[in-house]
Amino acid sequence: MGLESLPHFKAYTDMKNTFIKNEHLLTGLSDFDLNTLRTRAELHRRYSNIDIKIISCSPEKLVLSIRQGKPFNGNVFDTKRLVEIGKEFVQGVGVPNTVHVGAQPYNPPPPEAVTPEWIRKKMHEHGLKVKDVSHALGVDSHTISAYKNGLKPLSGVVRAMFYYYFNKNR
Amino acid sequence: MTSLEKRLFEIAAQNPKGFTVTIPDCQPVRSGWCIGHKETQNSFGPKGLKKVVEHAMRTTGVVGGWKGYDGRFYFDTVIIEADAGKALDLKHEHRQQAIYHLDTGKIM
Repeated sequence: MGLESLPHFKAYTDMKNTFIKNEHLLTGLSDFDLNTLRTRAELHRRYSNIDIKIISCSPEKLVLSIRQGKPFNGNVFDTKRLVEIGKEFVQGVGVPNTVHVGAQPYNPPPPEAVTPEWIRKKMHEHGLKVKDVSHALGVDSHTISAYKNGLKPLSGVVRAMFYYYFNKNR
Repeated sequence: MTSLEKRLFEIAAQNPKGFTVTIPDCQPVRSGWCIGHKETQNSFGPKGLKKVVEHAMRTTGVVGGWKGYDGRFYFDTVIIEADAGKALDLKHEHRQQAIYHLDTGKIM
């Protein structure tokens, strides 16, 4: 007898085909409704970096949490909209009428404020030249200049370097 | 693999949950209804990306991608439509289960 014929194995492999965390808590849904929810979860994840997690589900009440990570396209939703998205997520499928949604909006880390304009402004505020920043950070002056002028993309680590250099150590 | 395909693979690796960009400039798409194109469904890996890039170049100029349950990177040509009514027509034409509004997170 192969593993595939065991009910638990089938349930486990089915659960892997989902981006809904704790999907197993959703009981009594038809295959159609479950697929509808899986498709919705996949789209929210793909286009807005939104993850959906089932917290609890009883015949009377469904509790879910919805969390947005850093969206690729920059479209950040506030708490109110995320709660609405959570309620829309289960609309029209066979879940309890009472739905509670806990929302965690995206909270950008402070170094995300660092842009070429931000670097130029900070250098001006502190009266620093490229060679000063280059020396302090141990980074070639051509590279600093390229970051400052937007000719080289700022990675997360580079943003953090500039952010902490200007905000914490001066 | 062309430099554009390499760039798109890099973007996919850095954004495994998903991305949607215009090509060839690889800028994020921020607005409109997203409809997956029926001709690029189930395209994955380098071969799939090549097919999608060629297709998108001829059609909408928009490529999307994400890492699937199976760990593979999937790609498709994305149609962007501002009008909800037209987007709904395109949803049916392209046999999509659902379409997504980037501005609001609404699904139809």
